[in-house]
Amino acid sequence: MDRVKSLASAILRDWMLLLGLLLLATVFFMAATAPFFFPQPPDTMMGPPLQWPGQYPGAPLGTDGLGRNILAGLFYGAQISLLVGFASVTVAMVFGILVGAFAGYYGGWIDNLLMRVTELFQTIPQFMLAIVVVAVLGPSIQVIIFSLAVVSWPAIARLVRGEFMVLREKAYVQGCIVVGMSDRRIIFTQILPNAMSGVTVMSTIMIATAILMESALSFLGFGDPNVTTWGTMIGMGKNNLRDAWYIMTIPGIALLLTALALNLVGDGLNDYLNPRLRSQRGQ
Amino acid sequence: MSNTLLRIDDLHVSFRVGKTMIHPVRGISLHLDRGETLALVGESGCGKTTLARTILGLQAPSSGRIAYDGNDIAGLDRFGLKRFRPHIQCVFQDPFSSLNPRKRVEQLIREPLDIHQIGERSTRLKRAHEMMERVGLPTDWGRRFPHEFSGGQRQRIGIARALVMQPDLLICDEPVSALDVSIQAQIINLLWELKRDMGLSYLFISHDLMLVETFADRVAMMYQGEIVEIGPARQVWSNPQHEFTRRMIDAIPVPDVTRPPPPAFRIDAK
Amino acid sequence: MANPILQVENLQICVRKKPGVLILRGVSFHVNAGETLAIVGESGCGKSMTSLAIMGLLPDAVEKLSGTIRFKGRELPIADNRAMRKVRAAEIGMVFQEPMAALDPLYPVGKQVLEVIEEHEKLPREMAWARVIDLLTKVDLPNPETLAWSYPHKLSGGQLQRVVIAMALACNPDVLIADEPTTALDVTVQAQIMRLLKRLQRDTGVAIVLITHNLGLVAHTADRVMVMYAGNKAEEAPTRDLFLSPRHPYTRGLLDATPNPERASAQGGVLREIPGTVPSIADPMSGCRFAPRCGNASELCRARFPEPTIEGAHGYACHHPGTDARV
Ligand SMILES: Nc1ncnc2c1ncn2[C@@H]1O[C@H](COP(=O)(O)OP(=O)(O)OP(=O)(O)O)[C@@H](O)[C@H]1O
Ligand SMILES: Nc1ncnc2c1ncn2[C@@H]1O[C@H](COP(=O)(O)OP(=O)(O)O)[C@@H](O)[C@H]1O
Ligand code: SF4
Ligand SMILES: [Mg+2]
Ligand SMILES: [Mg+2]
Repeated sequence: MDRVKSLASAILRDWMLLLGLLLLATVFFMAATAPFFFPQPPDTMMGPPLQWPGQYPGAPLGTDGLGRNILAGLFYGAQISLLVGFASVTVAMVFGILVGAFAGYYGGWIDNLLMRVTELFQTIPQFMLAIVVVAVLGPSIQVIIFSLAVVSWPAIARLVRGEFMVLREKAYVQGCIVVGMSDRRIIFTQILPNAMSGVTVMSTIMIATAILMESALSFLGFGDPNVTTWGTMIGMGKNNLRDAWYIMTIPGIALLLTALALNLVGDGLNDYLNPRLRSQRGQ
Repeated sequence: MSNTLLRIDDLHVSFRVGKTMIHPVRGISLHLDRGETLALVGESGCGKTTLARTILGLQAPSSGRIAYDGNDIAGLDRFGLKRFRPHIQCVFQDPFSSLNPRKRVEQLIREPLDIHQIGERSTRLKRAHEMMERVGLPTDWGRRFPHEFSGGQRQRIGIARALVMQPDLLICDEPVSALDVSIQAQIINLLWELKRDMGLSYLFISHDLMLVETFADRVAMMYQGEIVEIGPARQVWSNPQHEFTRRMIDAIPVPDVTRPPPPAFRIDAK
Repeated sequence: MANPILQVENLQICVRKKPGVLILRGVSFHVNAGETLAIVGESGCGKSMTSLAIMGLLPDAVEKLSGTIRFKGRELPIADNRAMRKVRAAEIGMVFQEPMAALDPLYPVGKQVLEVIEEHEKLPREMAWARVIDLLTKVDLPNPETLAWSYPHKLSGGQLQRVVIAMALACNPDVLIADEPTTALDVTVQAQIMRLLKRLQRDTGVAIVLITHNLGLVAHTADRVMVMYAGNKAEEAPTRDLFLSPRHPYTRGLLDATPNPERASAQGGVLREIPGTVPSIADPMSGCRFAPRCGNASELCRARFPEPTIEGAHGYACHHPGTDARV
């Protein structure tokens, strides 16, 4: 009985990772091929407005209130979502890793100082903070990426700090000090690679959060007015909620599936990275 | 060049744990001559590792002097110590956590040479391979990772890494405690040969008086942060002076059925 | 044969679904009532697997391929977890190397002993608790009434091991399996724990299976010794015989590798080592598995596995046994 269960759970786990990767690949495909399938920018009027999916041949998923092609919007929106998600988390990772690594490795007053600052960022609700940053600096893609990085780095910093505090006590790190290795070299070449698996998993899930937040910002009108994103599409759809709910629902589903894909990949990576790490650390 | 390689005078180490202070090392003085093996024996928690860490500069002393070849190294910072690093190296107890799991063996052994820029870049790998052979590891295992090795083999890797810079002093913190007797004998013999061939001095930390008696020159008995007895190994074993040493010897089961069990093993004894 | 209380016959254990990868390659031995049998050998030789098999605690990754384990003449249902729960503690107790792993950090130690008693016997609370205090007294713990309410992290390693021994003996088992019970302890504490075990054995008549790699402990506490190598029984003999005239080269190697100050001068200050390491369980070598490390090895050794030879109470599996006495 136990054997059947463990087999099933193994397949299920891999199956979910596979599904996540497939979904994610689809989003990447959409982003990469958008200009190829839809040479016109996504905000051009393509046909009559409020065509339901399947009604108008030029727009298989219908058109919105201004006659824009929803399918084209989805493809172009994928570009923005991926760009914002990956770029903001990359920036957050660089900063969070630096802060977490130094705080965790040195401890003492450096740790105190850096962690006070980190906590300061974490006391303000993430979304509020993002809105404030965008409101102050003005709505553009760069600012949105920056604002999402600002709200994401503290979690990474905390995770990295925790890993560093454990790893710096390991005998192999002590050994590196004894052979005379510099702190910088120990931090970046000896400890960081061993701390990365947790960060990788967390950042995958953070990309999903960043994508959701970007959409929420756009939905509320804090998005970059020059680009079409899934969030703006949802925002436009709210005027026609009663008679043309598909305008809102279709990008909503795309958003949901992307977030789901990233979470599945994150979970899968977690299961995959952990046992290997355990055997490498000599259990 | 004096004959005394390491001299420690009235060394104290203390930590703050929460609100209380603890003193794992309470006024230790000892010296180690060139080419000598000094064993430091005591029960767990008596401060052996703390003393080793302090000599290695991993822990700041609260007072006292540590003189290496006449230079005071107590409490020097990383930069001050860097000059002495190639001379004082160490081997750790746990063969599983003491090697970076993501580095290949030859990288691990070569690293110290890179850090101190010893030798030509091109010859460093060769030196690492020579060291591997010296400690009994086939050089074609150099591309493997530590987790592919057994405990005894990992200790050999650790020893090669420590000795590749040709230090004078090797501090061994229970290097064989985690190993089986047969493997323990291999490592002890290896250390003994290396010492003979390279003219090393050892500070050998152990909780096993019977083991060190067979190959240390002198033994220092440590009890609750102090050295309570120090002398030639043979003499400490056969004529212990301090109560603690006597109690420990009374509890050691000598693997010899022709002798009566040690006093601490007799059921009727109290 | 005096009175075998536990009999293991041709026990084979393999990695699950890989009958070719044998962890135990057909091990047979017995334990007599009231005696101490020591099992020695390097790590990875299958000592712990033997004891876990007897307790029905084999990890999921391995399975029993063949063999029987008899306790008081009837076969133990080691694959049936529910049936084995009745056997554990009540008939066969177990003590592990790491006492902390056997205890739950969230409960006072007395409660944990109580739980063992209540699982096996229906007793009024007060009587069961009185038993707990009695047990803690018997294992020489100071102030048992107060100590029973301490949490595990408040106790030292030696005290924890005493609690674990109290748990193992709570229901008066006939056999106690101790897997390296003192490896994590200081020598003085080790002596106290061994003395405690011997005294409890004298008072209750429990048979002890002592798994260890400390031959000094074996010399002074065991009645008989079984030496294991790479999943096989290499040699089995009364303790005195084994130390004075070991027949198997591996036994001899282990004895010679053990530091012994009384023989130090003869060794010239260096230990005699056994070269090489234990072969991997997946290594498909034929013949004697000790051959690559053995000084006596011949073509015969490499070709054919040595069948056991029995000479009275002394048994060994070797083509070219040593004959000279060891001094
Ligand atoms: N960084 C630290 N902070 C607080 N206490 C410490 C620290 N390092 C060691 N100690 C304490 O100092 C005492 C001596 O520790 P040390 O590690 O030197 O013992 P040891 O003799 O090497 O023992 P073992 O045989 O267990 O290795 C112990 O009580 C230990 O708990
Ligand atoms: N869960 C497991 N899966 C596969 N092999 C195992 C497992 N546990 C132990 N082994 C193998 O079984 C052999 C015997 O192990 P063990 O009984 O723990 O040895 P000992 O107690 O003598 O040190 C070893 O080669 C070990 O690698
Ligand atoms: S059978 Fe041969 S190889 Fe095996 S232990 Fe005996 S002599 Fe050595
Ligand atoms: Mg220590
Ligand atoms: Mg074991």
